[in-house]
Amino acid sequence: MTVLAWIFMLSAWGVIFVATGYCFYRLLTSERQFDGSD
Amino acid sequence: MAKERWASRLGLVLAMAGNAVGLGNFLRFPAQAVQNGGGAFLIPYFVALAVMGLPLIWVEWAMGRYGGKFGHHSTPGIFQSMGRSPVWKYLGVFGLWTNLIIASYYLYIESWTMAYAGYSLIGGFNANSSVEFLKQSPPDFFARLTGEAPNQIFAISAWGLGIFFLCMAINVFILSRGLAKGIELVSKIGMPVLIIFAIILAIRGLMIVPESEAAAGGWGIVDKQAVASPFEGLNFVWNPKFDSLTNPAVWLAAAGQIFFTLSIGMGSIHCYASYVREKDDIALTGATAAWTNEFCEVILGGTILIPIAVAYLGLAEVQQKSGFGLGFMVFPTLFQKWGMLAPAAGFMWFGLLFFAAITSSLAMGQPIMAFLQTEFGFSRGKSALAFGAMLFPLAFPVACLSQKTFFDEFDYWAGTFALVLFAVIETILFAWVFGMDRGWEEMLKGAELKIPRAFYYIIKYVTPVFLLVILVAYTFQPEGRVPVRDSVTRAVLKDPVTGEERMANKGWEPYILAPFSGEPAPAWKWSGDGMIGKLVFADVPIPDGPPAAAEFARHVRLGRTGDRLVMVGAFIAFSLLVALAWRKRRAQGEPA
Repeated sequence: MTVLAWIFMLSAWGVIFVATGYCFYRLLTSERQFDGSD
Repeated sequence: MAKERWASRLGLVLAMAGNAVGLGNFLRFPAQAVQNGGGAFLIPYFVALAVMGLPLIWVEWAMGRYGGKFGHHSTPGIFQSMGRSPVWKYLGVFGLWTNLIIASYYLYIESWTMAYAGYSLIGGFNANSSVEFLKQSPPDFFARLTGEAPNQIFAISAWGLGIFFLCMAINVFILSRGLAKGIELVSKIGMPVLIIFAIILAIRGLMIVPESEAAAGGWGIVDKQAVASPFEGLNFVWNPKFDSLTNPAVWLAAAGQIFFTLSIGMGSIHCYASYVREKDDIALTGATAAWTNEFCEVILGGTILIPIAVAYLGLAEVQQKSGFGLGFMVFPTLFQKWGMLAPAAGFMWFGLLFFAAITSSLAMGQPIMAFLQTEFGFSRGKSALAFGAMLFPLAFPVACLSQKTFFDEFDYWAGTFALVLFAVIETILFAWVFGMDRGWEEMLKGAELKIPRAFYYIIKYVTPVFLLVILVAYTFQPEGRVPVRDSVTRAVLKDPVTGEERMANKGWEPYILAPFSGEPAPAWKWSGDGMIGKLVFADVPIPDGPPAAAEFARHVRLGRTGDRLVMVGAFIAFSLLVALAWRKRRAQGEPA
């Protein structure tokens, strides 16, 4: 693989890992879950 | 009747992500990236995600939760609750119609993944097998499964039909179990399994080391049958071609990919979100589902299909094939090169496609069920059966006629064009009729993620413009094909096998680039991929060649005409149901 290909792949992966990880972290550590009565 | 709710927030995220993660994540995305600039494709891709994907996700979640507050779980009611004119509920019919039409052919593909997974698991696609039944090649297996044959309008396969109906029955059964015990449970199992299967295949694929590179050292499994390193395939996907960024067609392709991958414009997100309480967050939950889809598409989808195919076929051959062709016609044979692992690999590949498909197809059934439950008081079981009954007359011709008729037409009109049209309608409703101030307030209610204020303006101005550009581009798409010329001699290149002229610059590209490149725009001809071209059968020319081919083309045109009448009929039928439901509401003194 060329260096540029590595840079683009790892950058895109990085953005997605960080965004997905951050969202799941916030979601799973949130005290507000959707269960319970209306 | 007790009000249905999601059992858990994670379950909702997985159900929403499952709705978005479909066959396109693993088959369409890598092919799109390769064709549109490799790594550079990800620049317009992420821009489209920011200005169209995420905003529309939040808009649809907000619309769904808002409508749910008034007891609406499908788009006719949701739209009507946001717009005063009675016309909105009829525009909301698209959110029922689209799901039914897409489900009728999507479930057919889903049944193929089931059949391929089962056949792989018992050791099929193995030319060296001692059992004759297991020796079928993927194209032979596909032909037997679908009954497809060249120039044949009827394509009937008894066991293919059996598997299709089994697949429909599975979907109806799961839907009849309701949100929490049906869709949510399947998503909680299916999504992790899909991701695990994909990770295993990606790692095993990247471990292939061709014999020619074995001497250079490195890690992996030396494979005598490999002709190239899988990293060459990865490079093929990711190596940026920056000149592609100046090509508007690449931006259009990126916007299209973002649009279709997130399952926007179908009404299924509205439906799922309508079961969320008013005080519950949608900003963080919606973003999590969207990013989970991106993880499955870019990281997993980009690392399996092309790298493995390149390792065994080489770059040149992979360039000639579509993602769908590679996935169904080539992959089962390639897995045979993994020896004892072949059945497991084939099962995992088609198993992950099956889970990707079923979590999406369930999302297509729920809005129709919800409509019948809310407006006509159907029970869960009865509404699931009614969905199956509605599906049957549409699915049957899909499975019994050539894929060039109902299958392709449904895919275009419902699976492509209607989605963009619906998204334009809902964006106008949300930002301009309901009002962006009220819409913004709705989006931020209970939000656990601070949505930047810039999205207020993006949703109001940028997203509608983006969508309108896509809609116009898809409606008036020209063929635009021009011969490929040698860069030095400028001679028209010919295909070494067929001797025919090689063509390139498909669609709008040559017309958009014409003012800048100096190349004259080609004579205007409607593309068979565009709305007008489809209408005039530009993709089904009557050939001058053999009479059988000409007769087949005429039959296809006839089939497509019938198919269009069926689609119009289905839309009218849904509209009548909506009219009936609202008449009932008025008679009961409920707000219409």
